[in-house]
Amino acid sequence: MHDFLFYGLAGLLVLSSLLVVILPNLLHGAISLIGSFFVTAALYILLQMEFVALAQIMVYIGGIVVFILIIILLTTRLGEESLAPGPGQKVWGLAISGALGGLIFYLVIDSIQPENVAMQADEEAGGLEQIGLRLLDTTSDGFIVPFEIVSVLLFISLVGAVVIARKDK
Amino acid sequence: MADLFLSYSYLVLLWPFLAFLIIGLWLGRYNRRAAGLLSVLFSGLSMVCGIGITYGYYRRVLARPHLFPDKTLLVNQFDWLNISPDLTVRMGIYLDPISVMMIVVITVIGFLVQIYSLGYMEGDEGFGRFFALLSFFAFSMLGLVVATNIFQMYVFWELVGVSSYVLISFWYHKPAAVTAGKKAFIITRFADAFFLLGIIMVGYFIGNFDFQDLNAPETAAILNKMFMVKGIGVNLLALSCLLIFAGGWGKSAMFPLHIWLPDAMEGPTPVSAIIHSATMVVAGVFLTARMFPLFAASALTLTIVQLVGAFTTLFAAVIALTQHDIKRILAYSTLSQLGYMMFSLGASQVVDNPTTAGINPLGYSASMFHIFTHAFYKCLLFLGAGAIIHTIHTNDIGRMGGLRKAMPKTYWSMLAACLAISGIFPFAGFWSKDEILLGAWQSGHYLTFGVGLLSSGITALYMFRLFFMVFHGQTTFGRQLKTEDPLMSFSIVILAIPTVVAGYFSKEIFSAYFSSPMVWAADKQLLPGHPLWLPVCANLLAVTGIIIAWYLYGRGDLSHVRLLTRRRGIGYQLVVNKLYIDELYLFVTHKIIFSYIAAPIKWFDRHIVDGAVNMVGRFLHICGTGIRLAQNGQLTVYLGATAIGIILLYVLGRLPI
Amino acid sequence: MTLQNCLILTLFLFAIGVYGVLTRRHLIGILLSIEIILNAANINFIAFARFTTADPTAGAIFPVFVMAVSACEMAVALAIIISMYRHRKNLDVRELEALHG
Repeated sequence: MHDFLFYGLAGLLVLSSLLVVILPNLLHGAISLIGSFFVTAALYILLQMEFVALAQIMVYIGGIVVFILIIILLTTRLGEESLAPGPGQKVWGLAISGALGGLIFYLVIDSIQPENVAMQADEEAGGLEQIGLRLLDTTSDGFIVPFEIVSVLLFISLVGAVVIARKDK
Repeated sequence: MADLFLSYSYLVLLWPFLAFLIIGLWLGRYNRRAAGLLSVLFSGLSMVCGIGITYGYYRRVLARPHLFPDKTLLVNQFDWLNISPDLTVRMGIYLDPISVMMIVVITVIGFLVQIYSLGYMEGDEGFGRFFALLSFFAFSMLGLVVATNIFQMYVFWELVGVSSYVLISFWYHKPAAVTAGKKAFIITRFADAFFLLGIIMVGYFIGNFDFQDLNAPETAAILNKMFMVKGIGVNLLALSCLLIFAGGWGKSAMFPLHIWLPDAMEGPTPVSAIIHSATMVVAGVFLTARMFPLFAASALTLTIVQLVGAFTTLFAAVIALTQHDIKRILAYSTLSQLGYMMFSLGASQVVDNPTTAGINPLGYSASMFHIFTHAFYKCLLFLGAGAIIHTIHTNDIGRMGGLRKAMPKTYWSMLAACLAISGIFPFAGFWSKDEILLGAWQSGHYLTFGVGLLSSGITALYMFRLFFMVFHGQTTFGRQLKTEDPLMSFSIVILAIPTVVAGYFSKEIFSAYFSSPMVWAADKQLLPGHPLWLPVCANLLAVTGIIIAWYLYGRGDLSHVRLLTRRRGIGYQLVVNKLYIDELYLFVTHKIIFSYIAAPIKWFDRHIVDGAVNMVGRFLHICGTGIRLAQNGQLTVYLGATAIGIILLYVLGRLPI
Repeated sequence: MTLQNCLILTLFLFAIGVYGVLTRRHLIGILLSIEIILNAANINFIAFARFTTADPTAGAIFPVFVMAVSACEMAVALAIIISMYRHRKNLDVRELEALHG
C-alpha cells in the first residue's frame, strides 16, 4: 500500500516539477509549482512528518508561491510573447542536468545499500512536540541559537526587501 | 649599588632612544624649548648611567682580576635572531676596558655638546629635529660600542651612519650640505659593503658572530688553514680581516676613502664636534681594536693597517697646512689624528727577529689612550670653532683676526686644546702621542715612527697657524660683536679641564688595564725601554712648529706668507687642491665607470631585463583578452559552467593518477 | 519505499531544477526552478531522518530552517526583481549582461 502510494506520488511530483520548468507561460508554471508542493506535502505525510508537511503548505504555498504569482502578475503584460529558450540552450541544459543527475545517480547506487529498507526511526520522532522541544533546547543538542538567528535574518530581509523595492526619490 | 648599575646597564642606551622618540614624534614640533631641555636631561641621565656602569664594572671586574682574566663582562644578553640551530644572533652589552672607556667618552661629550647646542642652535628652524637626531646618534653609537657580536655591531654601525648622513645634510636647503651627505653616504656604504661581506664570510666559516669566539686563537687557526682557491692566494684569515677592516677604513675616513670627512663639515658644528671628530669616526679604530686579537694573527692585515694609518697621518697634516676653512682644517687634523690611532694598532706588530717576536701591547693601549684624549681636545676645538662661527658668521680664517679680546674664554680653552693636539708637555695629547710614538719605535717600525714624529711637528704648525690667524693679528670686526653665549662657553670651559689633565691622570689606567690579553704578547723585558730623547725630540719639533707659525702668522704681518704663496710652486698647488683626490674620483666615476661600465649595464637593463618583463606583460595581456570572452555576463552560461565544473572536479578526483 | 527510492526521486527533481535554471530566460522562471531544487533537498533531509537512526528530529528541523531561509531569499529576490523591472522594463537574463568583461 505504502509502496503504491509512494510511486504514485513520486510520479506526480516529477511530472508537476517538469511542467514548472517547461511550460512556456510563467503563470502556468507557478501554478504547477503549487501542485508540486502539495504532492511534496503528501509525501511528507507518508513519511510521517506531519509538522513539516503542514509547514510546507503554509510557508511555500501560502506564502512564497502566492508572492511569486503576484510578482508575475505585476511584471508581465498581457499579450506579451513569452521568452522561449533557444534550441542550443535546451540541448546544453539537458546535457548538463543529465550529467549531474547521472553523477548523483551513480553516487546513490554506489553508496546507499538497497537493504536499508525499513523505516527504522521511532514513530514519535519528528513529531510537533519533539521539534518544539528541540528548537528551544539550550543544551548543545538544541537549536535555540540557529532559531534565533533565523528570526533575525527574517527581520533583516524584510527590511531589506522594503528598502530595495521602494521607489527611488 | 655597583651591581644595580650593571644589571640595568641597557638604560644608558634607552634614555637617548626615548628622547629621540619623544622629541622626534611629538615634542619637537610642539615645544622646541622643552624638546631641547628634555634631550639635555635625558643625555644627562644617560651620562649618569654611563658613569655608574664604569663604577660597577670597576668594582665587579677590574677589582677582581683573578675572576675575570680577560676583563670581559657580558650583561643583558638575549637571543635576537635564531637563524638556524647552530647560528644565533644575540644582542647584549659587552663590557671591557675599551667599551667602558667609549661609553664614558660618548655620554660625557654627548651631554656637553647637547648643552652647547642649546645655545648654538637657538632660533634654528629644525631645533627639535636636531635634538631628536643627536639623541638618536647617541643611542646608536652606544649600541655600537657595547655590541657583543659583530652582527649587532653592524646593525648599530649602519644606524650611526644614518644619523651621520642626516645630520650632515641637516640644513637640507643648502645644496652643498645635501651633496656632502650623499658623498658620505656613498663612500661609507661602499666600504660597509665589504664589511658585510667579511661578516658573512666569518659567520659562514666559523658559524658564530660573538666577539669572544671570533677573537679566540682557534678561530684564527681555522681561518688560516683555508684558502679561497685551494692552495693558492690569500688565505681566508687575511681576506676576512681585510674585508672587515674595510668597514673601518671607510668609517674612519682613511686615505683614499677620506674625501667625505672634510665635506661633512657642512653640517652644524656641534655635529662635527661629536660625530665627525670625537666619536663616530673613531668607530673604525674601535672596530680594529675590537677585532684586534684576530687581526693580530694576520701579519698582512696589521701591515696594511699601519701603512694606511701612517700615510693618512702625514697626508692629512700636509693638506691642513693650506686650507682656509676653519672647520676643514680641523677635519683634516681629525684625519691625521685618526691616522695616529690606526697606525699605532698596526705598528704593535714587532718586527720579526728571533728574540722579540709577537705583539707589543703598548701599541694597542696607546691607540685607545689617544682615542680618549683626542675626543676631548678635538671636541673642544670644534666647539670653539663653532663659537667663533656663531659670533662672526664666517668659516674663512683669512677674514678672522684679533678675537682674543672679544672671546677670552674661547681663547684660553682653544689655546689649551692647540697645545694638547700639538703634544706639548704636560697637556693630554702629549701623553698619548708619546706612547704611540714609543710603541712604533719599540716595535721597530722606524719609518712609521719617523712619519709620526714629523707629523706631530706639522700638526703644531697648522694648529697654531689657525690659532694665530683667528685670535691674533688685526681686529677686523670692531666692537659690535656679541658676547660669548653662556651655554656654549660652559661646555667649552668644562672640556678644557680634561684637555689639560686627562693625559697625566689616566696614563696609568691605560697602561694597566688596556692590554688585549688574548694576543700573543711579546716579552716586555726584551723590548727597548723608554728613551728620554723621544718626548724631548717630539716637543722640540712641536715648539719649532709653533715658532714658525708665530713668525709667519702671529705678528700681524702676513708679508712672508704672501711671499711664500705668490710663488705658487707646483707642490703648493697640489696640496691646496688636496692632491686632486676629489677630481680623481670624479674622473674615475664619470669618465670611466659611467661610460664604460654603467652605460652597457644600462643598455642591458633597458633592453634585455625590461624587454623580458614587457614580454611577460604582453603575454598576460593576450591571455586576458582571451579569457575576457568567457566573461560575457550571461547568467545561464555561468551557472552551466559551474555545474560542469562540479562534474569535472568529481571526475578529476577519481582519476587514477 | 526505501531510502534509495527516495534519493532517486530527489535526484530527478534536482536534475529538473538544474535544467530549469539553465533553460529559463525569465528571471522569475529561474527562481521557480531554484525552488524545485530546494524542495528536492528538503525531501532528502526528511528521507534520511526517517530511514536512518541518527536523529530524526534534527532531520525534521532542517527543512524548517530551509523554508525560513528560502522565504528570506524570495523576499529579497523579488524586491530586486521589482526594482529591476522598474528600471529596465525587462527581465530577460540574456539582456542582463552589464557585468560582462
